[in-house]
Amino acid sequence: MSAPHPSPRPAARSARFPGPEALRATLPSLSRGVNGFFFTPVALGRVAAMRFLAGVYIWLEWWAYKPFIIQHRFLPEDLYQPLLIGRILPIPAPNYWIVVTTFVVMLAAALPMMFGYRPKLFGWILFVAYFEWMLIYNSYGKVDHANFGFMVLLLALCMMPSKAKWGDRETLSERAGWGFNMVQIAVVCTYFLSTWAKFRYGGFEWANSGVFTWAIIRRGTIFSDWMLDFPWILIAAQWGMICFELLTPIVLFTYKWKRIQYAIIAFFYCFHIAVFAGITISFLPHLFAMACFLPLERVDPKALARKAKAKLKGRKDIPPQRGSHEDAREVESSA
Amino acid sequence: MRIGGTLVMLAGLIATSLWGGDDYFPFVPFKMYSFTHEADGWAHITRLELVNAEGERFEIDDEATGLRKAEVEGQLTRFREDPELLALVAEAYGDAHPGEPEIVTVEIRIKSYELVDGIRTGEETDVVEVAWSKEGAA
Repeated sequence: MSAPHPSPRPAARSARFPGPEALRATLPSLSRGVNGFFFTPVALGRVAAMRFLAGVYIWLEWWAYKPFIIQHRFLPEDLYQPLLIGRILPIPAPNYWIVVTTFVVMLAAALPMMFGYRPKLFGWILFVAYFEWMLIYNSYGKVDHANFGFMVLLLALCMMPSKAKWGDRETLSERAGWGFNMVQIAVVCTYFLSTWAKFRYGGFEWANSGVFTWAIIRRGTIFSDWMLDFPWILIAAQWGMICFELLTPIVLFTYKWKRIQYAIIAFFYCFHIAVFAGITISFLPHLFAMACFLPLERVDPKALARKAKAKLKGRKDIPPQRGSHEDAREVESSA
Repeated sequence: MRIGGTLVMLAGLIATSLWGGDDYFPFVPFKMYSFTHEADGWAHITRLELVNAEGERFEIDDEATGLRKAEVEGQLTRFREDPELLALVAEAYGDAHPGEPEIVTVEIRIKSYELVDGIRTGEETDVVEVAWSKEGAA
């Protein structure tokens, strides 16, 4: 760890006090390492792109992904089972109008935020509304676990510079780097700590149990139903899953080797595609949050729109607007 | 300071993963599919079935009332202790589908498949776990 850092102190002193001096020499390299991990600056273009993606998710979730959340407006209060936070804070039991108001505020705040108009102000409104939305979602007897990273993303975006513009690769921000690092840690925790939960709730026997069989019986698809006849494949998959999840923190420490990091993230996305094909669970908000690993600042929607226009010659009327949802993939192939 | 923010988040997650439960939302243990399911035993699927005033019986999905299967399972103990709570499901269904005939019966049914070495034996059961019927209705 002791780096050849030039010390301003006279040599004689370091001879007399080798301990503290050695420490002094180590500290800068240590703090450089810590700063590099937490504050590696990120270009503001990524902030703009992530704000947009977060807004896209908000607008997708309520109808395409979790349509039952808004249906909770019909549920009588007696079925409401408040979580700890709902019991400590004076949060009222959801009723028809609370659910509808939360919904409207959430969607309305997402629009200016995603297009960069007063993104901090609307970001905070969105964060609060989305948090209440999550309480409505999770307070009826079942808590889901896919949204943590996305909530951290919404919070982190509130604290990033307002002046983020698409395609800006020049302006670097440590604050954005810190925020995305936090989201990335949350994303990795979702994997890593879920292995801990498997050991805690399922025991070490989890990997040899029939949990995937059970999952496929409940939610199987044509891609996975056949596996029910080959339980050893499912057991192998369970072991694979444990190994995969325990290894995920590696991605946090590859930030200096971008290609490796992007490859790992691409593998994560493939993992989720496979899981979705097998049991139709997509962890969609998690996937959106995970996009902050990718160099989205390289996405220039105007250039992409021009390219897309050339491809879709037949349909000329596509407005040259914000980038497509395929941003991540475009970037990967151009990286 | 900012590093502190990150560490607080991390500490919160780790603490609830170690000792906490779902109640500590948003810091929850990530326990999706974490329960062990024996390769020998029964796999269960819960569903809600309703009967309306015209005698039609049908299964409802998560969106019909907003009460998901997983939530029915999460509150199953409550429903067992007090089947009258199922009247609330009928009420919610009625509110969500104003034009339809009144719901007179709500049943939580559980279908079970037997597994041996992780393979379905073909043995199945389908039982009414909890039921509620409007007074006076059949």
